[in-house]
Amino acid sequence: MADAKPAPKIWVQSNDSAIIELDRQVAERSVLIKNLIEDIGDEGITAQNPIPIPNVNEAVLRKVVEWCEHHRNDPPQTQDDDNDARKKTTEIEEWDQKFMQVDQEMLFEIILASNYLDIKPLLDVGCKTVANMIKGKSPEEIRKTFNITNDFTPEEEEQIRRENEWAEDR
Amino acid sequence: MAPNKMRLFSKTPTLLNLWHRLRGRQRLLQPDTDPVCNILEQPIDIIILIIETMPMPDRLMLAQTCRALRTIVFEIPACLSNQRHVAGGSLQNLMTADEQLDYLFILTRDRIDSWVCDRCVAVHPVDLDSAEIGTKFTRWQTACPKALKGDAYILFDDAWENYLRLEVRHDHVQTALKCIRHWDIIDRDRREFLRVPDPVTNDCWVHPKVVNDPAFPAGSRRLKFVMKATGTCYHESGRDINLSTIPYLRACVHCLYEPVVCLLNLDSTMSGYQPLCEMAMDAWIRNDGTPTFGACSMCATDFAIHFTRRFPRKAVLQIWQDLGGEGSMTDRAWRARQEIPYRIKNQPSKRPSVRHHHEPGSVMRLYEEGQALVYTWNHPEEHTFDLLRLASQRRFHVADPLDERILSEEQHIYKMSIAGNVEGWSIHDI
Repeated sequence: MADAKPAPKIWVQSNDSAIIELDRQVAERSVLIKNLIEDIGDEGITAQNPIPIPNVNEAVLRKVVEWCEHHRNDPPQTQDDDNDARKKTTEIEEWDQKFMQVDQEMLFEIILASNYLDIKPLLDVGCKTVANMIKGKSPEEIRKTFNITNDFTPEEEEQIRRENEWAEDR
Repeated sequence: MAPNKMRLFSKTPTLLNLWHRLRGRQRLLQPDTDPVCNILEQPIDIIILIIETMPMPDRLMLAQTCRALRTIVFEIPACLSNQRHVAGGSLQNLMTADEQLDYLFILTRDRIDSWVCDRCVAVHPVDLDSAEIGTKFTRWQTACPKALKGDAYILFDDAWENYLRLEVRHDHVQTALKCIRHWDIIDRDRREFLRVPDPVTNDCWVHPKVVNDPAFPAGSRRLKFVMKATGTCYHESGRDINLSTIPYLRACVHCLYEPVVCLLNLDSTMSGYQPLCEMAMDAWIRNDGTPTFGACSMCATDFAIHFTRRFPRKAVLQIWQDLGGEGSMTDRAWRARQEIPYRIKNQPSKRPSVRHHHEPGSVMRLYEEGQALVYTWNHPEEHTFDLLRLASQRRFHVADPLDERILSEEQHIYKMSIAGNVEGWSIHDI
């Protein structure tokens, strides 16, 4: 009986020149890479000739690959799932919640990388994580969380007060 | 900002760049010495994606943080779900009634002297003077100035009927949790506000307790309000209590015991009757003075019944309820506790029953093992058994979670009147 064929591999290179080897199935979680492989063919990608990912550094790329490894068998997202349904809930599954327990800078880097690499489910998880960081917080608490400077003029502050008149004690 | 920060991902301008272009400035809003504001560094399409996953109250809160985010939320139609906002106009019009409640709740999170009324979807001041100090009534009594005539706002009462209709309102829980979160800065009057009331009667005790939410790390200031109530039921004449002379008991809005209905099996299909009925029989038959445990499948309530061994015998019902942490009254766990489908202004439609699953016994353990963050009033437990050990060994009676046949309010009243007429007992005979 013939040995099981090893999973086809591909190689990607981060912007700081680190080369990461991964299964093709894992890499195809990224629509960008999937389309690229379809265009240039398997044989065009080797350890010596990896796919350059010019916008993502090694640490972020490894994080993204870790996510793709974990979700390698997830069904591909259809166009139907794409819009309203996914937006309506901010629930994140447990593994993804733990995965996203990183500092803010890394969190936003992952969001940007998933946007660039076109990994919609990861982009969703990232956006929902940020949304959950905002959830239930007052403007002042949101400012503290994200280091936002309050740059409203006194006139704008007065406008905001008028918008919230209905919410004053009565 | 780090000079080598990557911005090659997207051709979309970042929010800050757009903002400064609009304002005719090249310089970034926050100078290099400021801490990085990651969210404002994102491309606009990412910011919009984030906003689209947020509920409307959070979007409006975000719009009140800075000018750039305000522009995005109010100027890009997708961020307001295609609604239009006129600067200075009321934000109320952009939200549904439920969203308004959530919004008000967030706004008042740090306003110790305010509470959100779900009846009129408004914020009212807490009136410390209105509490009847030194009585059996709670000091957390607050009154909605617009409440309908006849609305009862009693938290604890000394009549058995009212004890069994024990109800803690959302604003009581929220005011308590808010005060505890601000414990170090609130004055003595407000600390007094939290004092646990005296025992309801010698036979009926209520013990609120605020503990750390075990779902969050200790010290995170995520609190939970849990409560234990103990009721002892006996004949004043000195006779033993028995299964048929226990009065109408209610562990929560879903689980109750009516001796006539249960013993005569008049309506065994009503799922809410089953746990307490079976438990009472089980405890009676066991006859060893130890409790039988039960849990509600609809809300976070555990309970136990036992009959004392000493003569005259008494029936003791203990109830543990998890009233949740800080959150709006639109929270699912809170709604699951509501008996009468909840109505709000201009939206009289009934809501479907909401279920909130909990692991049977978990509320009891949370209460018994959780360390109280603020003083609660303890009383010596009369029973001698090891409650937690027994709970870990015994089966919890739980109502069928899929059985939709929960009694309506009208059915409760009807059943109660039948029970009273058939048996001829009243509360004062016990």
